[in-house]
Amino acid sequence: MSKHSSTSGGGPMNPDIDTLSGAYALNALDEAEREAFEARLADDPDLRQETAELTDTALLLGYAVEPITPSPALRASVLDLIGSTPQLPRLSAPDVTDVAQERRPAADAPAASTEAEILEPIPLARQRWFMRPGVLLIGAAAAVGLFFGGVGMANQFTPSPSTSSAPIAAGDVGAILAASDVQHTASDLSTGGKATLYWSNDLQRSAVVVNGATALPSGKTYQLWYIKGSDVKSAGTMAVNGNSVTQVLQGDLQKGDTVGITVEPAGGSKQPTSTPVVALQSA
Amino acid sequence: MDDPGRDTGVPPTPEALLERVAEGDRDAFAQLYDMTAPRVLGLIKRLLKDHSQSEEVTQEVFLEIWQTATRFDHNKGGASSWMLTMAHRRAVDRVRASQSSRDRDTKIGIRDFETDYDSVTEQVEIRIEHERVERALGRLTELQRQAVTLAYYGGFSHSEVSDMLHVPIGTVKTRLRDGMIRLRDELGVAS
Repeated sequence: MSKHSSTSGGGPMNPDIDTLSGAYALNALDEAEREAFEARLADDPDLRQETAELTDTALLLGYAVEPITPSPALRASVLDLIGSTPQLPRLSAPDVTDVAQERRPAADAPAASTEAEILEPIPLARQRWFMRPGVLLIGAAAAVGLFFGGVGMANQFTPSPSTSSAPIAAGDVGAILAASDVQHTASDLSTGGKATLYWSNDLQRSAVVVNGATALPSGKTYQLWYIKGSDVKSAGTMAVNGNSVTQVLQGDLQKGDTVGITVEPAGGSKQPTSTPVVALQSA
Repeated sequence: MDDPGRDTGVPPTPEALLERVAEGDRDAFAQLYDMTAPRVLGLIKRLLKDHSQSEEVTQEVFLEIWQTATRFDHNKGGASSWMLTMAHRRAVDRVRASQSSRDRDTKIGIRDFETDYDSVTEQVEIRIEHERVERALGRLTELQRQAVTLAYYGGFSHSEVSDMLHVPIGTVKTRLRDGMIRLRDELGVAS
């Protein structure tokens, strides 16, 4: 049993927040409470110990769940996707030493706010073709969004290192993925397949990974667009030759841009001429 | 851990595989996937119910495993625990992001989130784990047990648990804590 005797340099006892160890271990806190609790953990070795034990206990609840064999299609999809998914660079020296630090959100990762922002549709007052009801695909994108800036629950989830020595080269998808503020969101294409947008506001760059998109006849091409309000800029055309395509978008990403993909005549268009097959909103 | 398991006859551990995955070894990743995906999917589906959504989240988890294997530190725990914790976290994220599924789940009610020990598993280890956890949960008070299972297997926040069980939020917080402490002691967890 842990007793918070608040000795040996521990912070003052805070009975209210200290009762959150169970909820924290079960992943049942909201964002603000989790942060407050983590800050508290840093001050209190006893509470830290208790929380680590309860987190391990929660894992046993997970191990007690009956396994389910995934479909062969999922295996094929996952193994295919890793072929186009770069890995984060290793950390040269671990600079985190305790649970609280490891779990704190990275100061440079604006993760806490992104989920809510991404769920917000573009104001209807600024509607164009890509924003009309029925064309708005952003909800679907948000539903499958997964945010790397988010802080994991286990001790293992270290915050994005600001010391990351990633090469910063425009046009390099690796640089985008290794950026400390990288985020991503994904959505299905209305014509089949799935697109994932990775972006870094720091680098002002984004890349799409498209899997399983329908091949187009020779007179057509996919085209990428940066969309900000009524401002639509081409971000280049994209050839889909195989099952998986990774492409860095041309031009600069502005924070909050929506990235759309349309089908255009070969060579691309100056402005979109068709309804987008997918829209992905950055934040 | 010294030998990444490349040339031995014994199956490599998840930790050894993860070490190779961190070097970009896709074969090791495939092996790791085969070894762990059923557990990951099983846990995710426990929270999400919907099979195709659960596979989607499973895919996200494995992509995250691939991307972040370089950051795994085996001094801080096992590879399976790392992956299962990530799976739970992502399943909870998905549950919370999806209001419609929340509404549906709330309608289904509490019973569905209680652990289901009737399903027969052929895997002895998991069965033993089932029984151990079942016994330990049986030692909790009714309120502790409901709160813990709703939070962990339902992905509900403590305030949602408070609404569902019609008890004050402060009570839920303390029941989650003393319930988990009881479980810890019953299951003999110490770190």
